[in-house]
Parts: sequence; C-alpha cells; structure tokens
Amino acid sequence: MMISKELLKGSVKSIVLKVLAEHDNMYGYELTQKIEKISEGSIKLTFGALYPILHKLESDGDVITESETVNNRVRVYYKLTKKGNETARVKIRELMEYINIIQKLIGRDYGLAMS
Amino acid sequence: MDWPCHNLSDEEIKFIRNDVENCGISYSHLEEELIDHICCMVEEYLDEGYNFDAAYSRVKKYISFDTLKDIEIQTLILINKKIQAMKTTLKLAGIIGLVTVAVASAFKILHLPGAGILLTLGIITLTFGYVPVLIFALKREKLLKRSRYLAFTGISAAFLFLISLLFTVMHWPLREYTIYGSWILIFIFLILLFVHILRSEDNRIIHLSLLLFFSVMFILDITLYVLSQNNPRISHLTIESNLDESIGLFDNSIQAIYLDLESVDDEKNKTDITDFREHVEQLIMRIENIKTTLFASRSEQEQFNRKFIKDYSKINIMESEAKDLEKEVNRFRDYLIANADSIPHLNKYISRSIRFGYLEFNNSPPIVYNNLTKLIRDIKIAEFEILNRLNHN
Repeated sequence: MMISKELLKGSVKSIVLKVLAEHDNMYGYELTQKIEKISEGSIKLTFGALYPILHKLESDGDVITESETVNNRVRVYYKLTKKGNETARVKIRELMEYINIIQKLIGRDYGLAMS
Repeated sequence: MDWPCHNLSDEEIKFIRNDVENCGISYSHLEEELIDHICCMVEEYLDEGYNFDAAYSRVKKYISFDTLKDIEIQTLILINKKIQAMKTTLKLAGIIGLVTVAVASAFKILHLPGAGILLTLGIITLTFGYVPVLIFALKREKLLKRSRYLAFTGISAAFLFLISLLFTVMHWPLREYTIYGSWILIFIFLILLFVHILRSEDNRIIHLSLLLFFSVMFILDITLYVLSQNNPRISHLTIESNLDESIGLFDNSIQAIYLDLESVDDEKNKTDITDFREHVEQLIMRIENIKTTLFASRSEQEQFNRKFIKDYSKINIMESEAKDLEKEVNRFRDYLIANADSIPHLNKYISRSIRFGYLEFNNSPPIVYNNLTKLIRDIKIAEFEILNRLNHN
C-alpha cells in the first residue's frame, strides 16, 4: 500500500533522521531507496519532499555534508552531527508517542462500527 | 541492496546536467544533488535493460523538470534564510521610511530647516526600498500568481501614489500628471478588488470593509486635493476685492477733507497738512511697490495658481525689504501718535493697527499681498481719523 503524501508530510523529517542515525554517510538517492526498501515499497520519497528537508537539517546543524566525485558527477553525502543525533532521538520519540496515540484513537471501538 | 551497476557515460551525464542547469537552481549544492539523483534513477532503468533515451524519458515521466525550481523555493522557504532577510529588509525599510516621513512632517509644521530633504528621503525609502522588496516577497510566497492583475494594479497604484507625493512635496513639474495617474490606478484597483471579492467566497466581510476603507480614503484624497486647489484662490480674491472697496470709500472721504483743510487760510497749518499728506502717500507708495514686486513677472493667471501660492522662495529673497518696511511702519506709527495729540482712543487705535512685523513675509505671496493691503487700509483709517479731528478743530 502506498502511503499518501498527506499522511507522510509530518513524519518525513523523523524518518530521514532515523535512517541517517542508523547509517553513516548517505546520499539523497540512497536515502529514498533505503526508505522504499524498509517500507516494502509503501513510502516512495520524491526528491521534492526529501531535499528541502535535508537542506533544512544542514542549515540547522543537524547534519554535515561531504562532497565526493563518483562516476564523473558530484555526490553529496549526509552525516548526522552530535546535535543531529539528539534531534533524531527527540524526533523519533515524538513520532513513537504520536503513533501510540493514533493507535489508541483509531484502534478503539467507539461503537461506530456498523454490524 | 542492489545498486545500479550500469554507469552513465560522460556525454549522457552532460546531457542530463544541461537539462537540470536550464532550471536555474543556484542554492548551495542542490543542483549537483539533483543531477546525481536523476543519474541514479536513469542508471536503475539501464540495469533493467532500457537504453539511455528510453530510461531518461521514463525518469522524465516520473519527475517534471518544471518543478525542479520549486524544490529550491521550497528549500528556501523551509530554511527561511532569504525569506528572513527579506522580511527584515521589509520591516526596516517600512519603519525607516515611515519614521522619516513622520519626523519630516513635524519639521515642516515647526518650520524647521531640512523638512523637504527628510520628506524626500522618507518617500524614496518607501518607494524604492519597501515596494520592490514587497513585490519580491509576494512573488516568493506565490501570492502574486493567484490574483495577478489585482496585485499588479495595487502595487503600481501604491508606487505612483508615493511618487506623486514626492513630486508634490518637491514642487517638481508634471506632478499633476503623477497625481492623476495614481488616481486612475487606484480607481482600477478598487474595481478589480470589488470583482475579486465578488468571486471569492471566504472572508467577504473583511474584504468588503477593506474595500470600503480604501474607497473612503480615495474619495477623501480627491476631495482634499480639490479643496486645496480651489480654496486659496477664492478667499484671496474675495478678501482682496472687499479691502479695495473699503479703501476706496475712505479715500473719497480723505480727499474731501484735504480739500476742506487746504482751503483754510493758515500757512503753518497748510504746511503741516501737506507734510502729513506726503508722509502718508510715501509710505503707501512704498507698500504698493512691494505688492507689485511680489507678483512681478507673473501673469494674472499665474498669480493665483497653486504652484505660486506655495512658492515661498520668492518671499524669502525680500527679507531685507521687509525689515526696512517694518522700521518705516514703526516710524510712521510714532509720527502718527505724535500728531494724534494724545487723544486716548486714537492713540490706542494707531498703536494697535499700524504695525507690521517682517515675519509676516513668512507666508505665501497672496497672503502677504492681502496683509499689505490691510496695512494700507489701516493707515487710511488712521489718516482719516486724524484729518477728521483736524477739520473739526
């Protein structure tokens, strides 16, 4: 099942931070592939969604970048900083709590189910 | 994870790079990343057995090159750096401009020097600092696209309105055209705003009250302008004709009394009266001369138009002449009081009405003109009173 943009919007940053926390030095395309694979094809990040967030993380000091020439083109690798690790921890916990609450809200039977 | 094993050739990378570069992305390393990303996507299709052209056209279906620039805009909005700088500039230009205009207005009211320069600086800051940054900011946040014509006329109207203010303050030529131009634009803007409100569903009440506010301001602006154009002309001419009439009446009586007095056979008295008459005539002639120089080399129509009424510079040149006149009027007053033979009410009248401060020249020419005519009338009244007393004796 593909996850809709609307649902994904608020959690892209946390997902990117989580993936970066577990893998050192990743570039944009690699990140999208990784997320797609882990989510078993449910989350396909467009680069319109990915790069603004990566650059925001960079300008906030959560990640640092390193450029490398690979196959005759420049590839930019992202790596979490110390501050970024802390941000990742906070963001992931926040998302987990959110998921729990949503679980409670959606999982509960309010008697709305029609027989 | 299986990474692409087909690598693009230099030409193929160059081809993709060319397409991306055409989008004009300049922020940081975003362009390089997008090129790499697209190359990776193409390489993935190459692995699946497509040739370059087929692979690239498949990628192009997935990503639209028209939206690449949007990624940069989204990035900038998210990072907020340029937007932040823009907002700071907007605030600064707005505050500096408004404060300068306010201070300049205070200067103008208090007649302090430098008001004109300050006002000009303030308006220039608003016109060339605030308005362009505002356009840029609106464009960035894509507010211009939604109602293009409305935004265009609104901004141009504001721009031209500020320009017309500048022209008016500086008394530059063609300022009437800038004023009329701004009126036309404001009028079009109000109509477009009305149409816009009718079309859009939300916030109708707020929009309508805004429209009402703008319309009232607009009508007020035109009314004030028209009133300021007409008023000085009417009042000036009315006062002038009334004064001339009363001076004429006094003059008739005065001439009659002179005839009476001169017919009396008293040599000493005669010389005194001739002396007095000459004294008065000289002073009045002098005042009349100054009145003429006030309007020298101006056609009748020019004398009463708005430009000239506001033209103080002409008067300032006459300051030394005005100071001389002040002295002369004072001297004449003393002379009159000496001749009034200490009759209390006459003395009081003379010392109260025959006075002229050179600072009265700190007015627009028609007002100075009127004041000088009033002075002549007061001198005539005093002359009449004194002669009348002499005649009864």
